[in-house]
Amino acid sequence: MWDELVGQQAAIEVLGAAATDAAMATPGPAMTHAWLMTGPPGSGRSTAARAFAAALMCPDGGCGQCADCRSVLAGSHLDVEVIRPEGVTYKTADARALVQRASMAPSRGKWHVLVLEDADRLTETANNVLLKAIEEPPPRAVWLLCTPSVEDVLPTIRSRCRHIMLKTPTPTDVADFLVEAESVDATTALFAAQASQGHVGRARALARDENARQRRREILSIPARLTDLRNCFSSAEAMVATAKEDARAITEPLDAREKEDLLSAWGEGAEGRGVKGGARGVKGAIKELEVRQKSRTTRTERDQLDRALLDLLGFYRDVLAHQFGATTDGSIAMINAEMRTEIVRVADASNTIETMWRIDAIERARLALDANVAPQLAMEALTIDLRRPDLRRSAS
Amino acid sequence: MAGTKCESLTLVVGGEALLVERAVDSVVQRARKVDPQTERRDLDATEQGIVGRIDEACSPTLFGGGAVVVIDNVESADESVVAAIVAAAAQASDEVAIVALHAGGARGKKLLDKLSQAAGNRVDCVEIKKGRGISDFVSAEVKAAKRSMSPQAQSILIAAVGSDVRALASAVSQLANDIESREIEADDVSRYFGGTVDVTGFQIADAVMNRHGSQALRLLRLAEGTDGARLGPATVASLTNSVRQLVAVATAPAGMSERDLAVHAKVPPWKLRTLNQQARRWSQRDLAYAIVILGDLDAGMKGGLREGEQLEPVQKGLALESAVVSLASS
Ligand SMILES: [Zn+2]
Repeated sequence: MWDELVGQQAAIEVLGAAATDAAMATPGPAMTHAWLMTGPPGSGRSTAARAFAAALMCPDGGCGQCADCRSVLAGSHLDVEVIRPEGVTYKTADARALVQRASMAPSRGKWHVLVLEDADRLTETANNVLLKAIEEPPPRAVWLLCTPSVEDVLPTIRSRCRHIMLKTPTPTDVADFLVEAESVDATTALFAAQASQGHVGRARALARDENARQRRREILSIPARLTDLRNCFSSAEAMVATAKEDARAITEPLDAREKEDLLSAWGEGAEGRGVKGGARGVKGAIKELEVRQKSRTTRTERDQLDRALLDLLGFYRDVLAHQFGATTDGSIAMINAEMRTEIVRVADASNTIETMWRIDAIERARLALDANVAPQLAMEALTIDLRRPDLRRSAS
Repeated sequence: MAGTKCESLTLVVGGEALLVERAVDSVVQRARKVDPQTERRDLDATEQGIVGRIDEACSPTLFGGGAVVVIDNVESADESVVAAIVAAAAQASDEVAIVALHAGGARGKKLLDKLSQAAGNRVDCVEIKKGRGISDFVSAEVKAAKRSMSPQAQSILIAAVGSDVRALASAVSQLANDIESREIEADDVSRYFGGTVDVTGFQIADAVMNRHGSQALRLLRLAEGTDGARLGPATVASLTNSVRQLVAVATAPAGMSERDLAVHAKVPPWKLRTLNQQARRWSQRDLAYAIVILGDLDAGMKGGLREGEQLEPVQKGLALESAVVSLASS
């Protein structure tokens, strides 16, 4: 069950000890009510949270086999709630509802676990609403807040949580995991581990899914294609279109299932209670659902684009490493070893300052997406910046 | 005295406030043409001691000079008040005019009949009904302004201004004032009253693409007055679109047919001529730089890239202005 947590031995020990203490009649000191799980994307924050939750539910402290363990891992355990914002942020009302639910006693087990993914998306008021519940936790509630870095939550919350810091797993850790747990051959495993830059889920996708590898090749071919303005624009357009398509593939099945569930729930409830009121109510509920689904689709699109930007970032990090001679003396392994020819070509045709500017441009594009800048405009500005990194510096 | 019409008494019937006002005004104006010193005195037919006040208002002043006495709410008055009005009208000198305002309808019907018999002039100001009534009203206003307006222009105007007759009247009078040709076109109307963000953002973008910096700035200032909050994103979107179209035209492979080019640039064919003209004013470097500026601007409008980069509304306006000006004149 903890296997999925690649290269996180220290964290596993702390969480395991907590689960053991939690099982005692009077929980021991290794257990506490509020945890803050931090680590870079893909390091396994939510995996850690789920595994810990399963360990708390399981009569054997996390066997991975029993009904409790399996339902937690499948996301269907009654006493483990995994919450993530559907929109860009958690609304204050969401936080209030959560706090209220936290006060309810667990229905099966000893604990009621609330996993908050992307806790960095709590607004300040939502943070303050939560603070109260974390300060004086209901006796059976366990809060697991997941976020990329400690700085993302208010200091007042931070100081009341026990901190689990996940680190970026090394390529060797990831490759070993792929070979052992996913039965991937060693070469593919190493390629995927390098290419994912420490993101375990991404590494798994790259190792197993040819489509993911194809997408990545397309993205990494962009730098060589930015030969003129037209190509900058068409590359940007293609990036956005691909992200949209991939996002749809993820969200459409979810959307359909949620709508079906909603309709069947209303179908049962509305019967015999006057069809008119029921029809109006179901319409409202569908509308509400669609609004949430739309914002999820938007967010998924941005996530897909960000994924692509991380691939590009890896490309220019390789370029930079090569320009410093670090890939020839072997002190740094290339993230994109299979692209060596292209990387060397770009490295030879530019200097380190330009590469830094390009890396800067990718970071700016990521921030722009986060700030809700129109995705296509953000990508157009990026491709132009990549082609002419001096443009914004020479002008004005 | 029954049967004798008094020229000095005007009866205004109906509840459409704008028309009632106009009727009263026209009496006042007519009187002032004769005597510019003519005074307007407003009375309420339902107030206490009104009979005495009518006598007082209608009698010649010590220093001479005319008066228009306007008596409101006649439909709710006592019969004695109406009798006093009729009597005052019969005795009034040439310098005094009386205007009685009756709301029409069932209320005070008897009073209305009495006044109708005595009044030398009657103006009906029936409330204008929505729909057909509104468009008839607009037609009448246009005609009164000695202009004509196509049905399409009329419907744009009504859609933009709404069915408030006062607002419609002033819209028509503004158009009649500002537009020199006899016929008021749909374009004129949308330019003045299609004051939605899209139109304005589009116009700003057009000025920028034509490199008319001062015009762009003027439009921007104008638009800020009407809808500052929504203007930023809409303008950025319009500008981005325009730049994309120019890029498509400017980088199209040589020898592409007009039709293919229109498809490639995602514009209707008639727009190509404009785009070709505009494209001559922009180098590819300019276009590339424009996108970089617009990306930064969009981020600025939406809260900034990093914490602490949030702009105040005023700063957003300034950022927009400086981006627009530097794009138009770079
Ligand atoms: Zn178990």
